[in-house]
Amino acid sequence: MHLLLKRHLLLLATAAPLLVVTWHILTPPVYGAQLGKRQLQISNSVSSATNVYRLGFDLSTPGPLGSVVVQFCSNSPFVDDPCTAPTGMNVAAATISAQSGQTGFSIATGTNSNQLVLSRSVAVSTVGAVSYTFLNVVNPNSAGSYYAKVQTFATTDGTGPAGDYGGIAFNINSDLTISAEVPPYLTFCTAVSIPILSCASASGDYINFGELSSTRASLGTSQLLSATNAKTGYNVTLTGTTLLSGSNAINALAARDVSRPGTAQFGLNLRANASPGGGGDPSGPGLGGPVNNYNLPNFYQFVPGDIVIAASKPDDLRLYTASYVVNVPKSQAAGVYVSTVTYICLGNF
Amino acid sequence: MLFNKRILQRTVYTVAALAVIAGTAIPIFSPRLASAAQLSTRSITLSDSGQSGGTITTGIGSGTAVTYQFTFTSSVASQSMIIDFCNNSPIITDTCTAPVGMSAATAALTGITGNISTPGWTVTATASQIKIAKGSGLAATAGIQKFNLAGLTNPSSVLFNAVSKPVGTFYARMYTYADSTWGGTTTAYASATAPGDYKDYGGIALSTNRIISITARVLEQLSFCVSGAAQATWTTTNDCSDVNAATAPALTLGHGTPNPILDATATDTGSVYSQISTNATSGAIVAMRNSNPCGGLSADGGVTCAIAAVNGGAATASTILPGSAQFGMSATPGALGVGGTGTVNADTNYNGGVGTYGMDTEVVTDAGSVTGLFGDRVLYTTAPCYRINNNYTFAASAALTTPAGIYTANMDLIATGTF
Repeated sequence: MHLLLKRHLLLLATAAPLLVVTWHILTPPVYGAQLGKRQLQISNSVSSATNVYRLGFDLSTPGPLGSVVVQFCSNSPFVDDPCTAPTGMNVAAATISAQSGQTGFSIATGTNSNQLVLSRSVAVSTVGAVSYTFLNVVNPNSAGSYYAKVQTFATTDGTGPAGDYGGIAFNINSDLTISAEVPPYLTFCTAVSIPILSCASASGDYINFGELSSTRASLGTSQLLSATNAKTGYNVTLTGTTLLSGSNAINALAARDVSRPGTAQFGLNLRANASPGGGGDPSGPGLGGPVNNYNLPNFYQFVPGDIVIAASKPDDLRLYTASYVVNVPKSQAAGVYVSTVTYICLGNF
Repeated sequence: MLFNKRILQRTVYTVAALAVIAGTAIPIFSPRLASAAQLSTRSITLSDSGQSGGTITTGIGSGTAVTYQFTFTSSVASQSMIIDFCNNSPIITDTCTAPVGMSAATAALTGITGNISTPGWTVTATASQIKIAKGSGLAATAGIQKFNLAGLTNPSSVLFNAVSKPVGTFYARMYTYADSTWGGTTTAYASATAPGDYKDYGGIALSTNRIISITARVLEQLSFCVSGAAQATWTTTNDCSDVNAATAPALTLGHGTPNPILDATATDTGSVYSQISTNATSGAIVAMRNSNPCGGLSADGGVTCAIAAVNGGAATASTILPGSAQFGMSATPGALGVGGTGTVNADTNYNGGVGTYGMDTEVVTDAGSVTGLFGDRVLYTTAPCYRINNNYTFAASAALTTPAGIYTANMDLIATGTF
């Protein structure tokens, strides 16, 4: 009889742990309610990017709340399932930058590469929306769908019976790269006439002053059109010679001066003039303009090598009118006087 | 006797094994009164075969609020009837042990075929017995009678070979009487072992069963991909897993060959494609972020955007004229992919009509901004969707004054589901 009792006790002692283990396996864990309106916003969906995650959800069950555990997995959003850590993901260095709803949380022990443990002193929570923003979160290193499991706890360290729970799916993608090449360009043309803001309308390359006189100034004009996307704009340089007839010349104005009939003068400016009347101010959407002594109405100069027009930044189309003035004395040698004037436009890319 | 016992056991086993809801007639008993006949084609159909007091406490499987549907063919007219529920035996006049946990006390009668019905017949019930009797109604004539008794609670356990089991077989015994007082005018019903002057009779086996619990796990799902290849080319799987869906979404805006350029003569466009599927109950949004803090295309890493966000970055779509040095995007409302369901809308900021584009960089009109931390909403759905295709057309033009250079932007399309 005693032996039989011992056998029973031994059998019971052997079976008891088995029953306990079996009960634990067969009995599903009991949780609170599912968290509502769960979402995980990420600031950069590119693989391996270090970025900001904002976790939001609605607490469904009021009661003591001391910790929230967020686990990132590549295989399942179910809290009961084993979790495969997403390759390359790292939340170990995450920090909380903002929190709302239930607040007072900080990153706590237990946080690792794919798990965040948020902890605070246990306080009673109410039903409602909460959000937590984390900095320094490193995305998984490949595109695809991933999951976040969220559980709340009444303890401060994510242990003990879980409260509310919920899964969230989020997505890692390739980013979209957009590129466009804007080539450097410099639009520049000269002609006697450029009626519209297009070099296609340019015409004429010959200015005839007619018969020069010592009693009146002779005036002629040409036009220049320029535009560029050069970073620091453009310069137009004047080259060429004064009016020549064999070895005879009409003096070029080495310094600015007004028109003086009866005096040998050859010069130009790029403004509208009253004496002699003619020419025109720059026009068009560009902002470039005449410079130095070529920007003074009624004053003229001709110094080869001078910069006559400048724009300091990319400039839209700008139409300039060059006014040429010629005066001769009575003693000016007879002949056909000719000059070739060249403008060189240089973009400053 | 031994033969009969074996037959009975077989019947019980068969009923238990098949877990049938309907009761099964047991045509084995001889009447004890020469004038009585066995009710033929008798059955009791239960609306719920679950045990009471189990893990399921309400609804199907709870064994509560169960309707028992009785059907039989009687040989003679009757004005009253008794149904005894027994745990141990269907045999008339055997001792009857009331099924544990069963309650028929609130049974309510509803007639279907025949005259046993309310309000002409009344119900008097206890936990394991239902007595019905003609009141103002008509007698039940010989023939088919069919009626429901609702509001019963199934047994919480049964005895099988003297061992208590959560579910299993229990029995009903039915007797009909010529008078309306259950034999009161001749020999009245006294108990299950002394049922009095009944006319027709019959035993029925019933069974409670284990409820089949079906669990299906549906994961939170959010599938979203952006591709440089149109969805029409995703012909292998028709979704984001298709090899063509993996085409890198890289765009070079411009015109001319071999190296397209952007200039003031045209507005150049290019498209990328996406597909979204989600079971998020509150839907999902797709937000767009521009890597350039200035919101447009930049040649200096986002410090400045010589090709600026269209319409000054306003939250309204606008045209991009050639030469205007602007950058924007137009999104189409979702189109159903192969097998697709649901709706995905394009935000009006990016869906203002043909030839209009958006690149919202301000946060006054709405909270989003392509230069903000979580971007600006370009697509949204308020419900789950499956295989919804969207196209995004990016457009840009350069002005004459747009400095030469390679202009870039990294656009991040971010899907967020609200589960």
